[in-house]
Amino acid sequence: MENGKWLGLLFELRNAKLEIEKCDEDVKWQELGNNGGRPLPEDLVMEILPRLPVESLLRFKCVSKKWYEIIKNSSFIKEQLYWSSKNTTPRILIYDHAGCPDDDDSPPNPNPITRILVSNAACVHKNSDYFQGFRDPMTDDYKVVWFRTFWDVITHDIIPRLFAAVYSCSRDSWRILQPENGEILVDRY
Amino acid sequence: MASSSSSSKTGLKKMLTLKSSDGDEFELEESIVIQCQTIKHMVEDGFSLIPLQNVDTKTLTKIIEYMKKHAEKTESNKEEIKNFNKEFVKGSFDDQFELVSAANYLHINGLMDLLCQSIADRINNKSVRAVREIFNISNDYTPDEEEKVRDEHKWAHEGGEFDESLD
Repeated sequence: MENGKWLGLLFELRNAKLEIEKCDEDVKWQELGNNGGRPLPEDLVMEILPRLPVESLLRFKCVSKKWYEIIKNSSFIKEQLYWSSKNTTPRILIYDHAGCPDDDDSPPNPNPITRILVSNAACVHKNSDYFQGFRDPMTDDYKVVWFRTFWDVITHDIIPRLFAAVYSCSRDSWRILQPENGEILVDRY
Repeated sequence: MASSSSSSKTGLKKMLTLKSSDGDEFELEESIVIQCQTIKHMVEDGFSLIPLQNVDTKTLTKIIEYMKKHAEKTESNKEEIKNFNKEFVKGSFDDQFELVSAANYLHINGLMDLLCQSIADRINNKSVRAVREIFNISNDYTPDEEEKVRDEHKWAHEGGEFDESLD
């Protein structure tokens, strides 16, 4: 019995050591939830959530303030990118300009979006007028992201901003991307 | 059981005993238990009785079932393992959470992967309310705050019905 106890302690120590090795310094949140039942510990929630597609994660920001914090954390976004690049095989859909919206100039119905969806579109060139097709793992829909730059007729210069819109095959519609920080960022990974 | 094709250094199969938090003991071949990183390290240190204070008998039985099946993995039974995995993740969320905690505690990477992915797939299309219930999280937003967060990504809340069920 004595021996068993000692072994147990040693085992705990071993585990604790492994935990510390695994522990990311960014992960320092407390346990989730505080109601009657037993909520899943934070470190396990952190193992599950990054495997979700972006659309679900953005929806789940509404779950609680803690989840909101987790989901918008930059190291979490990196982790999510890792999983989404692992789980989905981007497929190219179109490479020409056929089927683009005629009215390029003003976004009629701006939809806020974070940059992660754009990054999801696999590697993209930062050139203007570039198309990239990808499969949205959440809806199993083919989508095309379209990056554009515009010419400013007043200053006679290129507007130093990248614009992007996403086409959904199933909805047959375009959505203008308007990132929170006002800039489309294109990640290569 | 039938994993005799790989040649072991010694003819004898080394046995290990796992002891659950309820005090039940399970004797297993070392080659099976080695998938568990934590136990592997202990075996390397020469232990043969491993007390698992955080894993109850019910969960440990499932974990052993998993390790036994995966120890049989070869090139030719991939389909069988796949079907096994599919069945394995079919339990309730509470059971899955129990298992994921144990898999994490024991550092069984393959099982961690399987469970986390399956839980993620299962909640993917759930409503916010259902996710709160499943994860036992209380909503700490005021209605106004929640509305504001919804408005940040309105489109993510549109596009069809979300699943309200808790299983």
